Amino acid sequence: MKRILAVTAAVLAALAAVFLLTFETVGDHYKETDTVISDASVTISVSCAELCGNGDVGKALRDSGLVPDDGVIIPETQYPISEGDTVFDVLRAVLKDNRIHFDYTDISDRSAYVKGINNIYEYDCSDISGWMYSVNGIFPTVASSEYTLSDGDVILWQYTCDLGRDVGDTYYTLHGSDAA
Amino acid sequence: MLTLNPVFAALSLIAALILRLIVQGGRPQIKAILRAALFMALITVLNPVFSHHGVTVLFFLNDLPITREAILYGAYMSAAIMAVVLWCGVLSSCMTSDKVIHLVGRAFPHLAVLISLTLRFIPLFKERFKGIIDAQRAAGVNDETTMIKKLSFYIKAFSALVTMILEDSIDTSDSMKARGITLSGRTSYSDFSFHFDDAVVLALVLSSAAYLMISGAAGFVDLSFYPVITPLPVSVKALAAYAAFGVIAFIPAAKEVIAWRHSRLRA
Amino acid sequence: METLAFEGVSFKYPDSDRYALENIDLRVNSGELVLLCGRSGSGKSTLLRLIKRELSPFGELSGSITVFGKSREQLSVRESVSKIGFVMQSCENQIVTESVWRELAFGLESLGLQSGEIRRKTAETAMSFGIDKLYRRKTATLSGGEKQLLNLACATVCEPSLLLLDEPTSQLDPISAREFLSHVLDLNRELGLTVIISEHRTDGIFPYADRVVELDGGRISVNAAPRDAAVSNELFFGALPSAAKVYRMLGEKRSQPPLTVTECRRFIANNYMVKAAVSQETAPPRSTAPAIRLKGVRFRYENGKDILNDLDLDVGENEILAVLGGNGAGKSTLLKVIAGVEKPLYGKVEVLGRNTVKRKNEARSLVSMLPQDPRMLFLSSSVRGDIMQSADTADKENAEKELMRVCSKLGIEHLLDRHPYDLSGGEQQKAALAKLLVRKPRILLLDEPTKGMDYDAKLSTIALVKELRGEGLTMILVTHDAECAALCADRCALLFDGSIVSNDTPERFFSSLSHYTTAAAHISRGFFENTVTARQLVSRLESSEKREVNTDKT
Repeated sequence: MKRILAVTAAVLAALAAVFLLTFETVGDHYKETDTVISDASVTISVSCAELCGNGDVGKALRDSGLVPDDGVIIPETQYPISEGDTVFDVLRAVLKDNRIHFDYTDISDRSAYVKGINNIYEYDCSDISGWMYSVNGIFPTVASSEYTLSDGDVILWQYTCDLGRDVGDTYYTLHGSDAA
Repeated sequence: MLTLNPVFAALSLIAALILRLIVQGGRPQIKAILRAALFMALITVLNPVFSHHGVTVLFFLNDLPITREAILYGAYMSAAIMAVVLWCGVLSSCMTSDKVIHLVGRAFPHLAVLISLTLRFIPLFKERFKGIIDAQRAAGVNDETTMIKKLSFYIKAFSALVTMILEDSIDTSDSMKARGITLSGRTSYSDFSFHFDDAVVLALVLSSAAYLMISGAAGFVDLSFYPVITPLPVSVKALAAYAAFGVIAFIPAAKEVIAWRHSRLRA
Repeated sequence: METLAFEGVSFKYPDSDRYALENIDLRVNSGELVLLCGRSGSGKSTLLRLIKRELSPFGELSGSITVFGKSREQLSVRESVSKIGFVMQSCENQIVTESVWRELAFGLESLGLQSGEIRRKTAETAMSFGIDKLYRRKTATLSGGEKQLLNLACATVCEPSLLLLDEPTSQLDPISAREFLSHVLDLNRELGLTVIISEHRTDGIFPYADRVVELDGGRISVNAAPRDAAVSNELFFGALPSAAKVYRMLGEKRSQPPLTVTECRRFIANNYMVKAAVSQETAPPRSTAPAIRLKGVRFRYENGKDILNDLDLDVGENEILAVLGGNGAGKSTLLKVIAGVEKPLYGKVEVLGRNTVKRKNEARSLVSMLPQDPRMLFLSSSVRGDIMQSADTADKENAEKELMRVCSKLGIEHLLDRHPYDLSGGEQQKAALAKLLVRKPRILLLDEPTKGMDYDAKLSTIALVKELRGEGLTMILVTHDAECAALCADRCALLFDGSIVSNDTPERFFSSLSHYTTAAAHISRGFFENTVTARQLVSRLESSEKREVNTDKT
């Protein structure tokens, strides 16, 4: 009886693996995609300037060479968008084009959470460090996958070591800091 | 773990394996080995599924990178966890009730009595419970046709068990009172004593542990897996730390081997 | 030197109108062995417990109790603990710790002795009781006899001057009981311990006691040397050893009654001209198909050893079969297999034609088992509740009627609203039996029904068993009590090494055994054949010629 259950479980797991997982080699993943022709575009840049010269950064990360001297991972780049594209979509596409390491979780169907870019992860600097984005200088309170873009938006992805305070987010200063 | 260093995990695992073989009696069981290997493989494989750190990407799964660093970290974790599992198994075989009571009884003799009572009552409870269930079934006075009725039966049987145990324990407490449990100045009898070799072992273990604490704090045995695997520390200080860990890990096995050889020589 | 003195002691339990002990005057000197006897409930336990303050019940006490020359209150706890040893009835409940060696050390630890001395004393005690081989064992693994021996060892390890024993062998089989009592006698004779022991089965102690004291309804009715007590009119018949019972039943009143089997045989040889063989009891013809049939039954528990091995047994309808056998021989297991609780590994078990495995539910509804400890059957907080619960499963409409019928038959109507645990041992057994009978089983299995009972209670249980047989039940009794088996069984069987070794009428069964048999059979060996009960022996003696009596020697 036990054995039957075990075999059934294994078969189901294998089926799940085949149907639910998509596999890509490194080459496939970074394949050049067709450029999107579109009228609308946005500007996006990714920076971890706060980490440069910051003594709180772990030794491994410091020595790895993954933190650029100026902290700029992606310089200001223009990127075409289609109807309904979110900040997250653009970030993912840009990182993929530049073959940069990207780690995120899909919390639910809509809400994605950016954990690490270029192997620079949340909490690498302090308990309240991580990736934040701003659009046109304002820090939205929704997940990046829920913010739909408009033509001409300027996206800034920045690594904060201090809950956003060091990169200009006044949310917590105004509203008091709850757990990040 | 104070520090992430695969040398410690490896030493721990090997020492635990050896000790487990000694405790078990020398013949490794195929089934157990397979199960352990499966367990370790599972952890090694699962880690990259959840952790995508690391610069060496092997392939992508659902748009997320599966990295070499994550796999190696998984392997490291599986070794460390397996070692702990084995150590716990060895501990439970070696740390018999006698030893526990001895350690406790020197300072708290009444606590020793309590532990002893508990150890006595557990098999008694089980036996009595089975007795009640069997007796009820043999008498044929209970309905166990549906699941609910069966559950209700077990609950009633348990309640009867508690009543019976409470009733009988009046005799037990009488027995204890009759033999002076209420007197002050109770001692705790055990036939373990502290010998010279115990002192040697204790000294070795304490000094090794101290050195390990220092090396952990100072950081010269540190190693990271993410984002890049840093090189294995092999400075003299680090090697000394590995040796210190080895001392603590292998002392129990060493003691057994020495004792065994000693008896062989005598015979 | 006086060890113990009761002067005008009366004791009443709280909530009770009657006196448990009334005006007790008793003196026990150092080194005496006193046998305390009397019916159940006569106050023996109460008297013994009052001597040791730690075990004393609450209640109204008047009169004075002096131990070792000091009044009971003056005795310090330390003295009371170390100088008075107490062994209770239950083998299991007195044990406190999980290992034998720790149990032995318990009392010494309480007294604050150091490890070295504890080691010495426990070693010596273990050796003298022959339990040194058990020293490292876990208490859970000991047999009943071994446990009680351990309890005795623990009571004496502190080197007491007075040893009190409250029906210590009532839960033991005859072999273990004999071994236990021999140790008690040793303690008294070799070490000079003052011993007061209460017992129902007096054969092993009566002849060797210095004094026999009987309690009747809380008062002392007999306080004399054994031989005087044996001929005293006051002494409760059941308290007599078998030899003296025979003597009393013959109507003898001379001053030197036999107290042991040997003395009884000498008495018979000296006073009767015994003819050789007498009536041959033929086995009663079996009724048609056997009510219970076991064939080739093999059974073992998970830990491996075969308990029942190729066992064959037939029990006729409406027959009472007594199954005897040593401790751990598998008698209880046999009953469980018949009841369908355990499944045999091989072989088949049929009750009234239904296979217990294939037609499990049918078979189970026909068989009911009364366990050794009747408390195991009680799930409710009142006797009525328990019986009603059992009745419901059988016959919902007539449940109430059935309950009253069974209760009046067993005489327990007045106990219906009591909590089962508040009843006496005999009452509990009846209540448990009521629970079974209300379901109208056809086969009744009784596991040690006369354990721990006094003589009168045993006789009434035997009468009840016979009455139930009269109603058509088939019964199997598992018992150690050879006397009981001889008195009520139609057939007796011996279980040994996993199978039935002997199966015959009580007369032939017990006559063929030389050790594991009734006292009457022991006594009559060589004189009469097939004489296994005291009554049979007496009637045969009465029909024999008496010798001329030259002197008054017996």
